[in-house]
Amino acid sequence: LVNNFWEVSEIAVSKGPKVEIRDFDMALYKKITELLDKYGITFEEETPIQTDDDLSDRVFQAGKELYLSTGTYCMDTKRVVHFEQEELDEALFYLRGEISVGCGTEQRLIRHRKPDEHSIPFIEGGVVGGNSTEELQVQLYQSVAQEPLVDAIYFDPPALISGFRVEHGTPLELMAARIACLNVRKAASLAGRPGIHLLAGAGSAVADMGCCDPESGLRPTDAICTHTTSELKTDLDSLNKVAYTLHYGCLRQVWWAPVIGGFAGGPAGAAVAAVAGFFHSLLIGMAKLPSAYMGLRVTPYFRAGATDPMCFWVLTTAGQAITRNSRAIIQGSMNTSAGPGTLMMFYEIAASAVTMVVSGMHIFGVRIHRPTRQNHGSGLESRFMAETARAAAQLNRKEAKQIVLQLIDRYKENHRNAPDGFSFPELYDLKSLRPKKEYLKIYHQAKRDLINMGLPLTPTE
Amino acid sequence: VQSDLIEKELLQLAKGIEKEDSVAVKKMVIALLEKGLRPGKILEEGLVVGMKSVLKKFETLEAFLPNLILASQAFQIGVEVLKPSFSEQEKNQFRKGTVVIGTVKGDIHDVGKTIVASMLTAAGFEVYDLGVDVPSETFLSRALEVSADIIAVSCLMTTTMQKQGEVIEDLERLRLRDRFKVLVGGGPVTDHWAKQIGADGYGEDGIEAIDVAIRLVSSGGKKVG
Repeated sequence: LVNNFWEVSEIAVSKGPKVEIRDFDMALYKKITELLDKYGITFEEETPIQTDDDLSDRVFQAGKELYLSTGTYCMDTKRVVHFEQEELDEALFYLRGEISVGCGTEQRLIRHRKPDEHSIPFIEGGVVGGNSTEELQVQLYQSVAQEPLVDAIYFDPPALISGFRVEHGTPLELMAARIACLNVRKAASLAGRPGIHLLAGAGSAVADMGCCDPESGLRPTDAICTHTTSELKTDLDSLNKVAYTLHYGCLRQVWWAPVIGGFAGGPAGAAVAAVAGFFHSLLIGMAKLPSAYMGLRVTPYFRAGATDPMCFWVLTTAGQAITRNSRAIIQGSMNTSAGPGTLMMFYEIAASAVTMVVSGMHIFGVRIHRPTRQNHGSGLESRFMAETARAAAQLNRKEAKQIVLQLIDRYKENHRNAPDGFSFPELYDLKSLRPKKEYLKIYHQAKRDLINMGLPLTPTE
Repeated sequence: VQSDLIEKELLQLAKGIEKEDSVAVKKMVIALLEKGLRPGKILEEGLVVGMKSVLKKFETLEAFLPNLILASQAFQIGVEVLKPSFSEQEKNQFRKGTVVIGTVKGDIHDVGKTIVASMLTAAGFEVYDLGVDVPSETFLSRALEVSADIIAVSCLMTTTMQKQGEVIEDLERLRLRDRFKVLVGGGPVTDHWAKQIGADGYGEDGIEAIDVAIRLVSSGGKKVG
């Protein structure tokens, strides 16, 4: 039995059986195909929000069986880490169902949620992968931190630091990560929320580890992202991140992203792989310990955001499978096709928030599928995400489904050809750090539309 | 009747590709050659028809990446059987080119690159997939070893994009730039970036990568833009 992370590491590094990567992938696909048949799991095209609990439970069992069969592949060593049934059950038993993040007045307790539960979800806002620049990073993140409904902030470093292009695993990446930490902590302080929980996606383990610094970087109440490569793969860089957080004593967000059309197969296979990814996160990312929360993101095979009915089906089916059958604290990761400053992006945010919240998930975002500009986002998207998520907590899945179908109708034509939107300086007045009139107009229109569709939002005009 | 029979067998060959059945494909190609059928016809009306069908199914999510890989392998096996029988004219007609493909050093993203590799194979290219986390020198040495026409370089992170430029830089440094066309792609990569680093082509997705690759080998290649 694998009892702790050091044993897991040893198996990944030198003790596990060696397998060629493509053999691992093909065996995974073959097993998924068998399991879909065994458990009678099929994709339902017209169901963006899953309401069939029995199906979700079957997906959970299939995902568990898949992980027992495949284990996790370590890409650097070509070794596989296998676990036994007892270890999977033990990991589920360990889950406490709550985790404390942030400090001082900004401390938050994130609790496990179930589908159709009316508790308020935890909102982790930010401009995810939005090409923030060193010059505007403080203002950009202040615009997020000043949103009262945002509980935590995700950030990633600028692509250029002091004029130097940042490269993975280099001193420049480390420096960019540390400067980004300083900037975001400054932004949080300027917003009057110095203790707000920060989640860093600095890049390599060296950069993430370099961020861990109670004085000017990440505190033990903050977190770093621990990645998973699709499907069910880890690498030494990711394991190093886990190891470091366990010793430094800060938190982790362990995330994974099943690919629809990839090695998991179609949407039904991706849902099963998503549940297997949950077990990978528990046992490799050590999310079974009370120092981690989890993030699930669905990646479509085509180049667009994950806001179409198929991605929602995978996210809600797998999400509900996990939240119904464990005490996991899991975030749904929001990924829109359209960019900020567009009505379409607000519709996509709302559709994502509603599907995730009624499925028992917390909220992480906003990421746009294809950022094309520098500082491609602002705080208003996080505000809208939080407002729609809170309103969605008053709904059940059936009510939510009707709203989401209406929203999808509004943007489906443009899903693979969405507008880029605008940059932070185009959307906000940089002195007052308030959204410009034109942007607020779109925001209010989106809220009015959603109220008319039945989402119990509070009007703010 | 003979012609109808042949048409039926070519259709079966295409189905063999769709079913990813390498053994059956090999047997059928041998049988068709023994019947005196022209290799070019077997390729075009059997193997290629099957691969096109798989690609179409992949685009509509009726087939997935593992199916694409297995069908490409069956296709490749069929082509290998045909190769010795090709006339000089057929060799020139059907040889699309050779591609060395991989994800750059520091980047372990595999799925997108593998999709493109399989699609290029399906389109008739001879593809050498170097995997992920590939150093620039490995791209170059393998390209020289197999006399590649195209070096296809993938990345999925903004912090690894520079490595695509490094491949071109190394080609220039070693005075090899004229020997290979460089095709770039991946999540953060744009047409603008491809131009900036001096790549010869950019493919937003697998379909576009095939079009660009064909253009690069057939026209001798033009710089992006």
